[in-house]
Amino acid sequence: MIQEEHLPAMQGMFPSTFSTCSNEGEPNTTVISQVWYVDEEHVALSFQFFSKTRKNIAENPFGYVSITNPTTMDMYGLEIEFVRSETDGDLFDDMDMKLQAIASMSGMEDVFELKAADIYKVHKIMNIPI
Amino acid sequence: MIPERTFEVITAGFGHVGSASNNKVPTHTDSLGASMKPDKDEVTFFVRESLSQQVLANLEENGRATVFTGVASHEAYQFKGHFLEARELTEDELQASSKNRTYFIEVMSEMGLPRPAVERLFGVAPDIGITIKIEEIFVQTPGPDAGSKLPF
Amino acid sequence: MNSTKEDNVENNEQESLLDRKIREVELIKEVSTQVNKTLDINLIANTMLALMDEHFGFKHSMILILDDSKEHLNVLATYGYDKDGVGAKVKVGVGVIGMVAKRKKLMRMANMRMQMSYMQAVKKEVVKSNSEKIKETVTLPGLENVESQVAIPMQLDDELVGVFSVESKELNVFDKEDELIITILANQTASALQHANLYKLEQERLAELNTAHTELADLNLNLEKKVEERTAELVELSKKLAKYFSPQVYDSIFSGKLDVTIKTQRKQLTIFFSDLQGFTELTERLEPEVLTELLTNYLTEMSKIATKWGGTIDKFIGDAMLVFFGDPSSNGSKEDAKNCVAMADEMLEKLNEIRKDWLDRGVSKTLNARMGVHSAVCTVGNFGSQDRLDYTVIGNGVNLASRLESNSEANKILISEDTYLLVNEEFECKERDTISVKGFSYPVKTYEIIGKRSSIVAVNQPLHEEMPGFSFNYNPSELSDSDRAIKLMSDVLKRLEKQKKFNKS
Repeated sequence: MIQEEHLPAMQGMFPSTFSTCSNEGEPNTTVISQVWYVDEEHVALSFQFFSKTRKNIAENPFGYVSITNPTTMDMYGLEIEFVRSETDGDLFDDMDMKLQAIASMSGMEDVFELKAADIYKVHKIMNIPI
Repeated sequence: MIPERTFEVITAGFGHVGSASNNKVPTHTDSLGASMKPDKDEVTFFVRESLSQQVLANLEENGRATVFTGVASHEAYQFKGHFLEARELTEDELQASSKNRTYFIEVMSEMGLPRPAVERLFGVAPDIGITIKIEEIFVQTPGPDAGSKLPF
Repeated sequence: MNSTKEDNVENNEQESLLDRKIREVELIKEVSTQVNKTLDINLIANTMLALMDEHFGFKHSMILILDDSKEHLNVLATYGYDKDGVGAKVKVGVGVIGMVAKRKKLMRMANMRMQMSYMQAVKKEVVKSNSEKIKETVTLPGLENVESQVAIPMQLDDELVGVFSVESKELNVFDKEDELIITILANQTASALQHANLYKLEQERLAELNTAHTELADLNLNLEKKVEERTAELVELSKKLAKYFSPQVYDSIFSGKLDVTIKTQRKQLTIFFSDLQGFTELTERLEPEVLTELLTNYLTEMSKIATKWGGTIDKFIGDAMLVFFGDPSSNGSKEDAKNCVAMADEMLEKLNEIRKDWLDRGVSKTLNARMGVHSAVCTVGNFGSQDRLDYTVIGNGVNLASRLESNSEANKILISEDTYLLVNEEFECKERDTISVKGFSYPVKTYEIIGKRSSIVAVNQPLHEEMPGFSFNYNPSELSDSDRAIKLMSDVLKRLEKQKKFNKS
């Protein structure tokens, strides 16, 4: 599913947009810093703060995320479905390390806390023909 | 009456118009500029029709809309409301959009992103406006206030 | 088979990729050779960083070493920065380098400014309400406005040695390839640094050993000297002390024969007492200096004689003396007694000489000695308190000796019967009055020493003398009528003296 060409878009170089939908059918759209590559079929998003987005996912696991290649500005849209939350492991560590490295430089390490690495299955990945 | 503090973000921000199908599958499209009628709580977001097919279909289906708009300083809002219409853009609106997009290109290039690519992303003009009647506004500026509702 | 243009392009790409790989491996080899040529820690670090720019174009890099506390990293070397930065500290867990050290995992950052600005925006909001959650911002060594960074943990055997960091002001400038190259070089550096470190430790250890050796040699030298000095001091001290002891006691103490505790034993001794008649009067009449000189002179001469005959000088009390024979060492009771009497005899002779001296010096008063000797079993040894010992003799025998002395005539030696029985063989004695002494149930017989019998033995030798007008021949073994010989000698003597008078007038 996820190819070599998509990887540069998953480094957090350019913000991504993430849309979710509540059980009542109410959409919610927000901007996130990075979509992390897990494997060919999976991506991960960092869970730091409780939000409407997360509440929606809890009710309705389907989401849509767009990612941008920072060099070419090619955009991709991914239809994703929440699978599980991880609170340890390599991915969590990598996410946490990155977060802490930046946060600690502004003295914000106590404000930012990685609560979990949310794993999503990728159902579809498509080009957005800009 | 849309609060004045959001004007800057609405008109100069880079936005994303979100919607969901009746099967609760969400999607969104990018908007490059907007115009508004604040006393009527109406905002028209400029999008490219070719990239907004699914969004338009969803809006036709259930009319539920949400738009996230933000500026470089990270000030951002989420506007929730219902779909009024999709229409052609006026000359003024096209010009405003062009101005916005030029600005984005500059900012992005300054940041270090490759100019040709940035121009490619923001170079194409939007062709339609999605008008939303605003019902709720949420602060999305990062921080402890994020998610709080703006009274209006 | 047709090779299409596309295939060609792909082949060329593969080739150039391979070329690049080969080149990279060569460069890595070259760099590591250079770096391993030296054992100087600073040189290793700086060489590595310079080579990384030369061969790979990494323009801003630094090497940090974990300090002993394991809580901080110190900048060892930098390349491509305005400020030297060497010695700057990074706390483990703070910033990219700090986090790499904490987690011992590499990190590659591509757009730090954007992330920082997001962080700042949030901070602005948090400050308004939750400011206590915010910690101090730290200044870290590195590029201002850095965008891209690769930080690698340097490890040896799973132990973190330090961190290797490469930075750039350009966005997203490092890729996986760069990560790999930097990792390899970082580990090489760690290895080279460890060699250098071990070498340095070894040198330090050697230096320490050398210093220790030198110090030890010095110490030994000093100790010997100190021991010498101390010994000299002690010798001096003991010489001074010696004057307060009788030589025999002193020697016994030093030889270890005499234990310095309160210990006494009963032994057969011969006790001698003496004093000077009329001495006390002198003390009233003479100048103290003169008196001291006289007394010292007298006692010194008497002591010499006592020591010569092997007596233990117990004490002086002014002009009085107490000497005993038989302890610490003894020659047998007979010999001890004979030696004591011989000593007393010689002392009297010496006193004659001293008397003439003093007369010459203006001391008109004649000084006469009185002496008493007694032999008996007495208690001898260390008496006194725990801290102050006196080596002396006590018992009835001592008392008797003292009484004998006070009963003796001027310049005479009065002895008891016990002593008489021991010395009679060698000394002619004259019986004197008995005296009664406290502690003795019967009156004590006393004898006076006349002289050594050996002087009388000479009497039996023949005598022959011849001169003009007078000749003399005496042979004791042939002479039968000694009375007639004595009368004859007496008449001759009277006529010689008359003639002498007549010749003078």
